[in-house]
Amino acid sequence: MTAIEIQDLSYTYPDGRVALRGVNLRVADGDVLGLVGPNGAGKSTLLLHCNGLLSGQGVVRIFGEPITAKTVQRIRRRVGLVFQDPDDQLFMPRVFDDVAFGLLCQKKPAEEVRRRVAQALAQVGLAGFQERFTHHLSLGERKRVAIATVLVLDCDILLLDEPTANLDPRGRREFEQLLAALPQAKVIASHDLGMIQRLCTHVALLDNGRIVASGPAAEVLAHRDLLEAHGLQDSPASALSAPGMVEQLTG
Amino acid sequence: MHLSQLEPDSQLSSQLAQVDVRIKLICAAVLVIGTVAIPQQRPLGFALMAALLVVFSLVSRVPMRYIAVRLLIAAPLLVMIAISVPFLHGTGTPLFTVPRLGWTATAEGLQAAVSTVSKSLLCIWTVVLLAGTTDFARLLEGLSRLHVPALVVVLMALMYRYLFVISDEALRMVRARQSRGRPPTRRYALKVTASMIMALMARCVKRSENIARAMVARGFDGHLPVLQHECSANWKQLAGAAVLCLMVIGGVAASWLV
Repeated sequence: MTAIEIQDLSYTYPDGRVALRGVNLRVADGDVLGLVGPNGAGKSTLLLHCNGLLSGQGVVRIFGEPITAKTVQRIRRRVGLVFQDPDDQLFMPRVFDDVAFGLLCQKKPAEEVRRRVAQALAQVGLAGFQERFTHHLSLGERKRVAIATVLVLDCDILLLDEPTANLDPRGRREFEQLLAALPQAKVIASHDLGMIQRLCTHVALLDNGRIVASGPAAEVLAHRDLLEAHGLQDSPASALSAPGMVEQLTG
Repeated sequence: MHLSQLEPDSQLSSQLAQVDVRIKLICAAVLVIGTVAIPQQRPLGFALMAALLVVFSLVSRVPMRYIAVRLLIAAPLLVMIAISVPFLHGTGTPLFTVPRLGWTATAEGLQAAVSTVSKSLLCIWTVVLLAGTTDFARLLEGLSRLHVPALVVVLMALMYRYLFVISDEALRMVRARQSRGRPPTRRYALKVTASMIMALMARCVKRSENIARAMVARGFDGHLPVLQHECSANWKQLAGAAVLCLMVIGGVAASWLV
């Protein structure tokens, strides 16, 4: 079944900047799509369309249902969006209130809210963090809480914008393990090609608002020339092993 | 001073902390309004109100240092009042005149200054005690349950959350500026500071767009949903609050009538 289907999607910001130009994309249920591309390519804008926060020209369907003014609230319950900066995502003073926010908006009973918040926090490895103040948490913890805020809604699709940005290597590794354990269909926008390679089944390369290449992750990421032409490189380890580089550094 | 120093290290285990937040909010409002309503010629009224707050401070187990630091925050404003108000009373018994400027301080003006400063200190003390014995999330819940407009509660929640984020951002900007040397002239330093404030405001606007998107993405419709906790009010608390309110109202009425 198709989780996300995007047809001929274009979007121009009010200041005249064209962000998306005729994007076509499909994500099957259970797939993990890596959305790669240089800064300003339109990755975040595309994610905002999948949650109905922006609406451009073209069609976005979630499990076959087009996003319209009538369906957008229902669709948002199925599509969880995690912003790049957890300080944007976590807007309530206390962890519990933030994770519970979506459920309370759906007017769920108090007992169910408490139970699901505890479950979501346990799922991201932060059991017992309910009473903590958000501004006392480390970046890694805030990123995990940000994931919990959407996991608690039992979403079918997760959209993650630069999930490992600014994390140290251990934090990145732990975060990758957390993402790998989540069963939902996922779209991960990132520059971290190592993580994309490890987590994603498919990759779409976006540049200047257009999909330049898409397909199975191993195939797209094998095109090093293509990646470099669009401002991307494969993993730093590979970059160092490029001919001449090691000699240059050691020499 | 970093903002984290202003955080309530609340005494949440004290007897006062266990009182239902709505009762505490109403009592605090009565104390503040009662303090403001005391006539300025009744220093005894201020003394009694201060005595009441001392008792509450002891019961609450909020450290005096915690209260004093927060009272000091209002010091610049209070100093301004203390210096300026004695000269603003047009008529009255003259006390002294400032040479050259010709400003005359009056006894009535001095009394008004003492009264205003006392009232301000007592009101801030009341609010500090409330904050020191109440978890901020419960405070928001209490306001919501007292039917304070949702917009006000949302703004308070966002303000508390983002004060720390913005102050950290400002701190990073100040460090970045300091790391690149000291501005050669005071005029240039002021210009740089003004630019930094503008940049901070622009970043805040951008962040507010992202926050709004994050809220809408999770179903926000303009009303802040708050999980209702069990009501902790009991007859003992209600009776205590009623006695306090009657004492304050009676005291203020007596100070006007007698």
